[in-house]
Amino acid sequence: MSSVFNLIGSTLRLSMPILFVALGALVMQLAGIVCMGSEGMMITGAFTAVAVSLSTNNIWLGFLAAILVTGLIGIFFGFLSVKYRVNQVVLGVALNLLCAGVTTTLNRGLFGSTAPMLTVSFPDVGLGLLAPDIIGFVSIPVMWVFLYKTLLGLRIRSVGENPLAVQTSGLSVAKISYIACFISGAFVGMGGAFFSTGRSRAFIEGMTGGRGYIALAAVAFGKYNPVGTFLAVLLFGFGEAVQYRLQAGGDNVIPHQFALMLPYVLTVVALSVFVRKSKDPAALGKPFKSE
Amino acid sequence: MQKKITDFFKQGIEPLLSILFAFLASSILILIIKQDPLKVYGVMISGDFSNLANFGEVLIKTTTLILTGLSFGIAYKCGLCTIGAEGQLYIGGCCSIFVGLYLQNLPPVLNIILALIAGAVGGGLWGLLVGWLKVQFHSNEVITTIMLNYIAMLFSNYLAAGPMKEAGSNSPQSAQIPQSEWLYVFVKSTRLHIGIFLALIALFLYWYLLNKTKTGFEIRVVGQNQDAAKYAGINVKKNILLTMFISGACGGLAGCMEIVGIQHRLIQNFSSGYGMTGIAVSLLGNNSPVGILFSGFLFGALKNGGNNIKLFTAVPAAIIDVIQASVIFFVLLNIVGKMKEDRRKKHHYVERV
Repeated sequence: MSSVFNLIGSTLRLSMPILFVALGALVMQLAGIVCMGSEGMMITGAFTAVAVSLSTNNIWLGFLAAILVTGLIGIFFGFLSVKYRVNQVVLGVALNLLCAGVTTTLNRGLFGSTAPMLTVSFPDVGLGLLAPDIIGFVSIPVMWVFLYKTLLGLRIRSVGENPLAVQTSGLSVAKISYIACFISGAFVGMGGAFFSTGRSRAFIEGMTGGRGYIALAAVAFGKYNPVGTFLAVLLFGFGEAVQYRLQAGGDNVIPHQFALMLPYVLTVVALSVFVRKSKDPAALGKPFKSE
Repeated sequence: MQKKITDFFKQGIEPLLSILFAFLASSILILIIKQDPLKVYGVMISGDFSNLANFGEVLIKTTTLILTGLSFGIAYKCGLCTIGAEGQLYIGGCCSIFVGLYLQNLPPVLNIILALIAGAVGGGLWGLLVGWLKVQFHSNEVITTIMLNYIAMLFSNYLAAGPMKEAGSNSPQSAQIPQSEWLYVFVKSTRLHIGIFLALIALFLYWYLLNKTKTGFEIRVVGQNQDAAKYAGINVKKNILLTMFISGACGGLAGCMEIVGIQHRLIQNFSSGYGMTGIAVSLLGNNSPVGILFSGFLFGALKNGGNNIKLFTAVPAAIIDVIQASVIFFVLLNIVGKMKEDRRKKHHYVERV
């Protein structure tokens, strides 16, 4: 029985950073912009949080800095998507490459090849949960209320569904998109920050390993709502927890490379078999051309 | 003729400016970590062109990059955005090493040809899987290709560390294939192998397919407007599947270049980002065969320069990723094109007034 509880516990712990990223990706996707840069923003958040926490000795300052930096990257992404109307997938690939390169270069430049461990940590709130875990749980209903019960949430969703209608009603499509992109970036940054400073308490180059993309898949799998996204993230977290369990069993049980494949295979299967009818916002990935 | 030449230069100016801006932007990062950008770029360039052996290294990287660039390029023409060259490359490499290691009683020439075919078909099927998931389940090809990249890399690493591991070796790598089965090196004291001609042939076939055949025409129509293609009686699904197979075959061949041409054995993580760079190659070259050739060479030089930067300066090779990403940004921003457009708009308003 205790092993079941252990598995549930590690599923939750592994899910939380991805949940933040997925909620962030959800907001941007609902605004009609493909959140392809989630991987890059996540690693930037992870690095920023560690760098700032190390230099200020305050883990919350690192958390805030990550939110700010990735929020700005989000606006940058939105700006190029909306204003320059570039291919968002390619833009995302470039951003991810850029972020991977910049964080690695800065990491070597500032800390040498081995980054130091953090000495500060988030407060433990019991049951093995850290303070940001609670923020994550609270974010799910808050995000739901924001998206479905507030005017701004409605406007963000409208931009993703029918930008022309938004413009016709006299609102600025660009402005609403930028707000959505900032919120999105901020959440992705929180995910990255929590991923590095939370439990590993160090920055490792390329540590996100595709989790940003998995979060993006979770949004589609979760049918574009916060609760569904959370459930999808839990599934991937479970896959990762099982993966670690299998790895711990040694290569005799199953070669560790196959264990490592599990979350990725799960993503492909989930996207293909279970997402039968896409609920993508109507204007997703189609830059709006104002006349 | 005169016009053709000026057009050629006009087309060339835009990418060149993108590259210039990318280097400038990356200099800022190098300055932040308190290194000298000029010294870093100097090391990179001298490492690329100082002697024949180094130049050969640039060209073998160009070979692989042309093929991964084609993998992205052909799919892009069909309106698909695949990030999958990396995975195709791993699968292609695995298939070719399988032939190289286990079918050694074949005549060497036949073995090489079979290894190349196996790599292309293996990569092609890996690409076809993405196409099938797309037409059958409408899965987003961007996510599936990224996930399949990780899966392919892990699978290849599994082979290198497990079933294909060299007996008695401590490192996770396969045995070496015999020298008679390597791609022939035609310039002494370099590693430059005949694969570069294969890449050039592939470029020609790419041009021929897209511009001179009915299939190529259909692929382009599907890429421009799926509804129009359907209306015109073009089988969209068939074209997507075919394109993904060709795209995968190009990526798989790139893997053969690395394995049969350079490494001669399966080693872990042998790609080091060729697939991702292929996207930049294709975009900078505007998906045209000549463009992909030149930008393949440029990124080959960058990639090789990255190794020298890592060896001889305090800057990590990751700076190359930054330069590459910046190039894509500036190509996307299309600065010169935007300026022209603005000017046109202005004229337009003047005329209307």
